[in-house]
Amino acid sequence: MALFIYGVATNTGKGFFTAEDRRNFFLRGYNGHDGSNYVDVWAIGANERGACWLADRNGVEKTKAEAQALVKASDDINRTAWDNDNVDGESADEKVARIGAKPGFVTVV
Amino acid sequence: MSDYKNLRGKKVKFFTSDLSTADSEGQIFYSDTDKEYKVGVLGAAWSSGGAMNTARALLAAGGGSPQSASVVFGGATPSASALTEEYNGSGWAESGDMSNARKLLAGLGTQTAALATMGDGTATTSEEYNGTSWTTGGTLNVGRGRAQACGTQTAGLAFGGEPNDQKAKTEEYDGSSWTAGGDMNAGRQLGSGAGTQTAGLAFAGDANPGLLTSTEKYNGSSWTAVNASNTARKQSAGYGLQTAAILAGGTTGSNVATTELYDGTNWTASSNMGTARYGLTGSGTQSVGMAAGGNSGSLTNVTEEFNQTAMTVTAAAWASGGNLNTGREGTATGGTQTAAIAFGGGSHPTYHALAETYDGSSWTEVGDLNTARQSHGGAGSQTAALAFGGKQAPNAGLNNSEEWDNSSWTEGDNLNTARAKMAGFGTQTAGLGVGGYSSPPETTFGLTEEYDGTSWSEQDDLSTARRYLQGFGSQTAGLVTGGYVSTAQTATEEYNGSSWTAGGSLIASIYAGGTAGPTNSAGLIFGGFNPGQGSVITYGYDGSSWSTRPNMATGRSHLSGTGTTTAALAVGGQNPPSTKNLAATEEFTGDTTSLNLKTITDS
Repeated sequence: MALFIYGVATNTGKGFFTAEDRRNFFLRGYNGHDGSNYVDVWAIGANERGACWLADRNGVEKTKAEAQALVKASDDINRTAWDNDNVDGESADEKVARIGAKPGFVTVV
Repeated sequence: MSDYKNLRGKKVKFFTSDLSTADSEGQIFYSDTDKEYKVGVLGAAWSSGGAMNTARALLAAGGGSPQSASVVFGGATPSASALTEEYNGSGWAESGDMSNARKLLAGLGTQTAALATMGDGTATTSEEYNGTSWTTGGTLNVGRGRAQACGTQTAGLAFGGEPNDQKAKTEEYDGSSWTAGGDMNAGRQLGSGAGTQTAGLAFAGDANPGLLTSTEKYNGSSWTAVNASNTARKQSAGYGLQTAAILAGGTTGSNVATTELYDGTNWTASSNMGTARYGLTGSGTQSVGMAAGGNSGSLTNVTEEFNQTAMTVTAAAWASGGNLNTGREGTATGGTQTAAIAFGGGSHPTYHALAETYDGSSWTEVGDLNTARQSHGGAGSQTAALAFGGKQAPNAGLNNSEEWDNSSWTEGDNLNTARAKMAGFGTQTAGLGVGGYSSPPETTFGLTEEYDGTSWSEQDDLSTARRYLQGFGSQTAGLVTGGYVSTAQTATEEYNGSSWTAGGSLIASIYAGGTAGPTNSAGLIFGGFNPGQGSVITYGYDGSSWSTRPNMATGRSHLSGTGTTTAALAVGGQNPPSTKNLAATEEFTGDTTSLNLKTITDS
């Protein structure tokens, strides 16, 4: 049996996940992008409560590959933004000091 | 017909609020609020504890350790490990490694006097732990592995194991040497043990072949068969006393979460663990214990606490809080979990002057800072906050400060040294700004400046200059930890109002994380930057060492935090590698306990 289910659901703030939810199932959030907008991607412990949590929040279940693709799309946007964020005459080290290292890729659990 | 007073010698009391303490177990009372009769009842349950730093199975514990001072060592990661970790009832901290990596080892003793012996194969070696480091112990007479142990470092008992001709053998340890004891009636390996050298208990395991329910007790010289457990299994957690033992988890061919309790005569089923697994270990008493690690399909770092009490323990956890109106990183936060203020921050390439207050549910925009800034210092409360330093351009540090009076921001005194990426904590009239960074020229600071509500004054420098460090506490009991200079740091320094001294090092380096804590003896750090992505990790500090706490749900760095170790708030940040700044917040609630009440009905 898979350890996690994956889905997209918008974090609406207070009450979106409770302390009780966190005790009942694993939950990990990621930034994703669906081609139009940033989306909240979730890896959820594969038990009944986890599955119900996603459904109760009008979440859309994804496969792990689909969830990873959404996260990679966000990563790609941000890596491109980093590539395009340049100052004339700035060295590579100076760029890292200014805006940090080039973003890497996030791997969903 | 007799009544309650005749039976128990006292009347049923009448209360307007429920009883709430453990000594109320068994007391019947009438709740005038709920119009019901209630009683405090004993309950048994597993609840989640802090995760170990390293996931592993086939490890051992000092089985006589209490839940709040446990130690585990060795195990498979999947290769044999020498790692030692200590549990304080909330989280795990790494300690000194064993001299020899071992898995399928046997362990006994306590957090300050433990023994590790044998392993996978026919090892004869033992190691003794003193709470800090391991030294060589006595040599077994016959090498073996997959054995069980119980007792203390100076009166230990090891029994069973492999090879098959040794699976019924027993050896006793006196703190320096091993001598042969009586043979068990049924040989076993991968079993469990509890009790002492003169009152030991062997249960579960594998007769190789055949899983066992058989149980035997030891009197210091010989073993006697007693009533069997209910479910045959091996590689379970077992600990406790000969007259009050616990058996949990293991494998029957499939992982199980079932728990059985032994009362000196019979085994009875109790509450299941949350995570079925084998190869776990445990320690404590039958009433208050813990089980850690194992394999639940993969190696796990899960810890569960077992409590048999009238008090229900609810484990600490992070929950979602209200979303900021404007997602941002590098903000500063003051106040409490239910009365906070967040001010400044950035959403690349914009620097914000925005301020928002939080009521424990939602954020409301309030008066802007006069100077937009990011990665600045912050201190104070929702009604009396202090903002200082920061940056308004990529790396050029600011020196001005601003005071919030619950209505608007007014200029305060300037820092002596302009800088950003510093730690800020304390109050509006007793604030502290520590460390930081400015460029050009690229400089990382160890500076400390105190604010008295009027002016900033320089104080003793940190031993290690750093930026993006985490800090919490007060002007007279402060702490900074982690941060970055050339590389990510783990060092902690404590401030007493005049000078800095070394504190316990972080379990792993963290920078650009959030913090909460009113004093340098009780704080949390959470999130921060891991190469490649924001972290979900939470650590707690007790005045001497760091230990793990439950993770946040969303990894983030460059966040801010406020509150206490039992009610903290994590605000905003970024979730690298995204440049999308987070509006999401999370609220941490520490462990809580409440009386387990049952309503009495006539049905």
